[in-house]
Amino acid sequence: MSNKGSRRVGRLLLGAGGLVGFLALWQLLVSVGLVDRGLIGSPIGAYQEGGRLFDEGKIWADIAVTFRTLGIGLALSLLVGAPLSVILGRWRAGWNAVELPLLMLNATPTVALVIPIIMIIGIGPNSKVALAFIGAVIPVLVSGRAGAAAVPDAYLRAARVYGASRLDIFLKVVLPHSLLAVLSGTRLGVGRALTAVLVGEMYATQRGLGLWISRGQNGMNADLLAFITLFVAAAGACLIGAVNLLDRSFAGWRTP
Amino acid sequence: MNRRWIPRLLGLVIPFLAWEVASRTGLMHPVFLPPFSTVLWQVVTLPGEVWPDFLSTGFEIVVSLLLTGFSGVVIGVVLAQSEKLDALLGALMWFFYAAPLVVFTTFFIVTLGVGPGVPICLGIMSGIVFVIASTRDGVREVGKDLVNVGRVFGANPLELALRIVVPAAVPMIMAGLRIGVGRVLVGVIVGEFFASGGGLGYLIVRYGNELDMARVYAAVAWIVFTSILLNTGFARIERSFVTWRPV
Repeated sequence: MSNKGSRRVGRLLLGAGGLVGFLALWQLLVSVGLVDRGLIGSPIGAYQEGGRLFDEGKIWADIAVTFRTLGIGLALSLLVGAPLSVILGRWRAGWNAVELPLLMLNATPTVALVIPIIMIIGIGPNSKVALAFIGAVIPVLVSGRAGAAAVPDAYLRAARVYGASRLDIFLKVVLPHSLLAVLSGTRLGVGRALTAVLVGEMYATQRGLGLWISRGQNGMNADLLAFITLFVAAAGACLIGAVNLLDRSFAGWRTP
Repeated sequence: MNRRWIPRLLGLVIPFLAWEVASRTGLMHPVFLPPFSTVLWQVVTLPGEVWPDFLSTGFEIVVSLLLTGFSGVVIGVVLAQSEKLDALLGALMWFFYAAPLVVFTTFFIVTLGVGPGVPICLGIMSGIVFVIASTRDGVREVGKDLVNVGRVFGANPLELALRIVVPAAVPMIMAGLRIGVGRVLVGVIVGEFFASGGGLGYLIVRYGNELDMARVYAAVAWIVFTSILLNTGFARIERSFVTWRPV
């Protein structure tokens, strides 16, 4: 166990070294003059620009807007998606009815819906909430439905033998079993929702991190663009990492 | 059989009928949501009108997929050789996998300029991690015996890689491509959205600016068709390789 643990630490250290090495190589190429700093900026410049932005404090509001939008969209998609997916998993005719449209929507890149949704709902935050919702609710439905439909018969029979009512079976057998599937749907959905929100904000908004990404183009300096790219990428990576961790912490529940 | 088809048919017809009625009665503003029948007609006529855009999206997807597959396999094979190298690049790879790829749009626009290069690069960046990861795992699983037999017969490292290791790992490589293909498409569309001057993603933006919503929905529909085609196509290819597993 400790051997495995120390190997894990070693891998993490090497990984961190890889990240640092990447930034160092970038800085070196710029400092030596092999790569044009005016084009892609430099890590040190990005750090200074970032420090300035946070000192001025303007960016906090935009971070808050993007993550609030994402949070509301995700919460709504779980609120609607989780119960609905369990119902669809246990109700054959209902699933038959929505299967084809749902699979079609599942194949739709959410970013393709950005412009129609913004046109219909408007450029305010509500359209981005809708985009996050659409991005996340569909994987939740598809995955949660499959989980609820795959509850082993043996569990249901065992519960019945012990005299569980239909409500008991639903609440204590089907629901926990589907929860894992809902969670892995959410894992997919978070990424889609985040991309959809950012694209929506880049296309039309007054606030949010997406606005900063597109601002980088409009005559702003390369260091600022480098900072924003790295910062938003890191924020997104942290979010996905957190969801992955949550998913893994439930893995012990998973029946083989 | 019959009993399954009735709800299925209803599930398809009712939403489209509701769309048509909502738009015709003015419940939804017909400028923003034109009737379904109008959109359907645009879906049919769109390829004839703007075939160059269909070609450029197709071109970008094909180039992006080829480069994703090729460079993903090369990097995956290299990473499989050394645990240390894999750990060193692991966090970096994970960072690019988990980061929302749109953030790199502006970077590519600045460095590559407006054109097909941006969607192609975004497509590669979106999909390549899956190919790298599953190639690496596939190569690691290749039996030691196979490699040893190759060595005994005097194969050099390059021959070993090309004739034994990569072919044995093909099922895993295909699995990586199958998962990556949807993300490649998203990358290409996002790239066209913001910087290309052509393609289906660009059409959505252009028609959106012209408030020609029927054509916007038609372009979205074609993206959905492409996505379904790519997903089912790659799922089928992957399945045909599963039986191919040599060991």
